[in-house]
Amino acid sequence: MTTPYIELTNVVRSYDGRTRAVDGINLSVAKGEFITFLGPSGSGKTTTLMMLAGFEEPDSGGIMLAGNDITHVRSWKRNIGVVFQNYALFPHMTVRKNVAFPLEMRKVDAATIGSKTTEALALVGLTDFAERYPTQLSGGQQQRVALARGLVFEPDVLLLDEPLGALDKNLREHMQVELKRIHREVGITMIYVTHDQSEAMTMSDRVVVFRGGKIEQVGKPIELYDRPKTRFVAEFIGDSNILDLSSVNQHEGWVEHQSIGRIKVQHFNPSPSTEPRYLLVRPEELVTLPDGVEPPDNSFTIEIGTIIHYGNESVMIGSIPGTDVSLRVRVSARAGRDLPDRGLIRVGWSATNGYVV
Amino acid sequence: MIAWESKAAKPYLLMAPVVAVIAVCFLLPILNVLFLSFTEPTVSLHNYARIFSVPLYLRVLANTFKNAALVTVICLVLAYPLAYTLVRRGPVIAGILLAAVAIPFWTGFLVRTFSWLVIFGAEGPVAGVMRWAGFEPPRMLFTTFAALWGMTHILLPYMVMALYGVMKRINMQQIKAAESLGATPVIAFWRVFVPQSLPGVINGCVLVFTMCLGFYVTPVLLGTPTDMMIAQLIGQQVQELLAWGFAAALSVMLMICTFAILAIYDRFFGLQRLWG
Repeated sequence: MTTPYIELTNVVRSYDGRTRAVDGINLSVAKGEFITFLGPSGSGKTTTLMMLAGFEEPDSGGIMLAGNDITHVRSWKRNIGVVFQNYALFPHMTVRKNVAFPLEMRKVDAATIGSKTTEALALVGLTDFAERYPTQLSGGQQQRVALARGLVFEPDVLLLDEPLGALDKNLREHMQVELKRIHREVGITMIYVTHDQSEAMTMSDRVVVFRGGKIEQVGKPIELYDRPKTRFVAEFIGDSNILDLSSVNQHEGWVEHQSIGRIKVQHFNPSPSTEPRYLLVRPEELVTLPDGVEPPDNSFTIEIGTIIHYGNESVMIGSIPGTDVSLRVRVSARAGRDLPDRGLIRVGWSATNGYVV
Repeated sequence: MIAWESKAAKPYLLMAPVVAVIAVCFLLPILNVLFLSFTEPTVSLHNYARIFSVPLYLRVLANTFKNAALVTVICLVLAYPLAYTLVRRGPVIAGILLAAVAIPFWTGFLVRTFSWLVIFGAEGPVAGVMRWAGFEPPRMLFTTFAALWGMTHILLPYMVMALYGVMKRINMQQIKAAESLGATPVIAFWRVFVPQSLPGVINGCVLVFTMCLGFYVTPVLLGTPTDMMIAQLIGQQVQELLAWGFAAALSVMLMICTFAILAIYDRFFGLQRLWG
């Protein structure tokens, strides 16, 4: 990363003076990055975003934007666009008037307002809807108006607070693609808040995982998926098998689980933050082992419990008999249909596919 | 076919009691007043001609509109910040303020009018405080001021409710959005909040203005005969002069004025919106 464009230093925010909604956040964002704040509700991600927007003030700590200290700058004096989950469009103004609003506030001349507004509406594909009122538009179209309004004045950064939360699944995926396209075309720094991990995975350059007012981990989506630093991140992002470990021997490349014994592993978290430690194996790394197939490094017999058919793939959930260990195995849709409903089956994974958190 | 007919008839059957009550208690007296205005003492348009030929009566009519307009404006100026506070503050403060508005609303307006008689009286608390402060209290009771004051007090809750009903549906996140887009709080208020509160302003003004036009007890008890409003004039004609025909014609005039305002409102906004 080059010189930070946005920098949060030890930012703390408490609403009641006792519990901290945001508890010492440090974060650097590069210009043009698409950053996602991911976390469950109450994890501090939205509060952090509101402090960036200037709707909330930190109790302590500082926020820098493009070399300026904006910690205590009021929101209307920052040059930051915000897109709200409920759109917050002005219902008494046409789409064009909504988009022109930030330019009017900046006393831009009428001709420029006209051309920039037209340009912004074209960017979000709403050229033909300029004279409509927001209530005459669908949810997805309203969201596009909010985007155009947040981008038209060329803000330093665009903040998006769960902008797709109110849309149905298909529309949400469509808008994700649209947002990425707009991000590429405009090249603006975007900070995106969501509790939907798949949204975070598909859109972001980097993801910031929030938990209890603190940052749990920052990284590229694939890093978080493959090399989570904590059990929380491992569980929050993607589907996972997590085994509690009773001992870890990194030198010899094995770990031990109380009831199923030794498991071979190649990859270990270099700086584990917690004890006890956990083994993470993603369900797609497990394979079923028909008779006569050479078993990989680790293999177990499990009793089939449930098979969930998603259409494009299936997930088998089974337990190792005599233990409380349950494993999830992701198989192709075809293989899922061929699996028996019950009975025993051998499954396994190779040492390179496990990760000790 | 028969089954369908009986089904369709049922809702009207359910409406029958209320229609009967309205017909007997409301429509019949109005028709009677209308009839009287053309027939008493003789069948003629004389009663109406008199309203428009005697300057005093036109002045009363103009005065009625002037006072109603004043009360409406005062109510709006007082109620708008109050309603705004109601929607901006937390539920506790909003609840207390709303109760403060509603409790007098539930108290009979006669009681409230009489209480002003006491408060503004020559030996009342206002006069007492003024004397204590070294001023000779001016005459407060039986003045236009007292009449306007009393009517404002009684009609204010209607204005607050009309404004509050509309304001609480305005999404306050829009104000934040406006601020993030570069609007100062004052500009955000004028450009985003006020325009969306206008339906409430219009509702409240129509409600207060039309109610004020026909106000009787409060201006009679607190006001002065020199600043008479039309309802007062009607009462005087009936009680003191037994001029039933002329009183009826004045009543019809008042009714036409009220209907005209409501018709204009209905034309532009739709009457059903008056009740939120």
